[in-house]
Amino acid sequence: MNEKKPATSMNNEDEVFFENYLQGGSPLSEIYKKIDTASPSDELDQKILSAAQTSINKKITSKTQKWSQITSWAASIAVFSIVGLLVINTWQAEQNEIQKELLQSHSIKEEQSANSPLTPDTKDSESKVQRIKPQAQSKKTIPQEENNDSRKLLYKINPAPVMQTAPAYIGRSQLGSLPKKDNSLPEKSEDNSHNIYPITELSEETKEVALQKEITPLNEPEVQLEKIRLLIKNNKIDEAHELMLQFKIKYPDYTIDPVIIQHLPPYQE
Amino acid sequence: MDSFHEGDTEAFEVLYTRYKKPIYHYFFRQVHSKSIADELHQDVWLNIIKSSSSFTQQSSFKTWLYKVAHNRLIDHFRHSSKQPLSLVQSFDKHVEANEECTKKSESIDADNHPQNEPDRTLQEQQIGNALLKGIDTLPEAQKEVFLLHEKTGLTLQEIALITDSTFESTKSRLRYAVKKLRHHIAQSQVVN
Repeated sequence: MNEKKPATSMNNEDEVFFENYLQGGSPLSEIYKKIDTASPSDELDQKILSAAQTSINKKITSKTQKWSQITSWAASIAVFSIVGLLVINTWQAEQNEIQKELLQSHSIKEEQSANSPLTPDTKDSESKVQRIKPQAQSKKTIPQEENNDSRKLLYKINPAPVMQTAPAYIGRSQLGSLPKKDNSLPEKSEDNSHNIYPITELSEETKEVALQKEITPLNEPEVQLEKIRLLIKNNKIDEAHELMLQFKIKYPDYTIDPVIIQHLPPYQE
Repeated sequence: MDSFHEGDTEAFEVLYTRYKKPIYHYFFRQVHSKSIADELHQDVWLNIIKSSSSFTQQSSFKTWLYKVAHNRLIDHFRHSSKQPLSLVQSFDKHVEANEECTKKSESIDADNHPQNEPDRTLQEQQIGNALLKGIDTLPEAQKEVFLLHEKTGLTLQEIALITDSTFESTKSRLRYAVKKLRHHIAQSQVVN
């Protein structure tokens, strides 16, 4: 039957012709093939083919460049990492050396402080002795080579004064016959062995030094000696003598101030 | 195309030899200028070379090639002041340019068919001229479909993909193009 007709005027003849055309049997195509002979020039063909060749060459070089770029990046990264590691290692080595030096210096200081004769084991006494030292040396310049024995220090601060001459021992019976003399300083005799130097009152500096000393096990001999001094000063020779005997038993090796010994009969070193 | 992408220039040469004439015809029939056709032809093939890596084989190479050519032609019409041809003036230019090309074919035909068929040759020439004139008078869409169908061997489905239209639209355009050309040739023969 009649097929659907398009909106425009298309008859059956045209439809048949079109179907024939689609199948390839139409003369229209044959005519067109004959008349359509235009073609590009040889020059244009060569131009296009050479452009294709150039693009291929560029691709090859870009690939090699890519690989070379990758290898160069890898090499640079490796170099930088090696350099960085070397820098870190050297820095660490320097730090270790510095620490060693610090430890050595610290150990040396500890040894020096431990070898000092006045330095007690406890920290407090060490600090106090250190405080006492500069005060003791404030009045007189004492060379460092000398022994910093506080006893000798006191002796040096209070040198042997010019004192009154007195016999080695004066009995009680003879005391009254003797003319009263003032307590002026005695004349010096040639024989200095019998020169008895009175125990004068301690100077202000030594008092301060003594006050700052706390009675510690290491300062106990000094305390005892101080007691003995006081007794001698108060003319309590017998008590001082007894105390000295006890002191010598307790501290046989302790060096006693010769000034004290001179006041206690008999003289004993 | 894969061989060319891997570096085989001979593969490209094969493709170029196979499709250079249809592509050139496609441009020449629409711009009617040898210089412009050369330019468009060169641009298309350089574009093919440049974007060879982007060819994904989702469609055939032929379809992809004509798609590129179609887009390039549209760009040309957009940038140029000239309208897509339809007038006799452009047809005359096309005829003049084509006569040079047909002389070669005529000389070959004369060698094959000596003396006895000059009338036939003249008639064919007249029909050919009428056909070309008829093609020139077609609307742009119908002309493009007709040209793509005639020289390329593309199916209607492929032509629809290239021109960004549907199958039915493409078939309808071709139907009307064939009808107009047939009537135009018939009228020209009647006039002659």
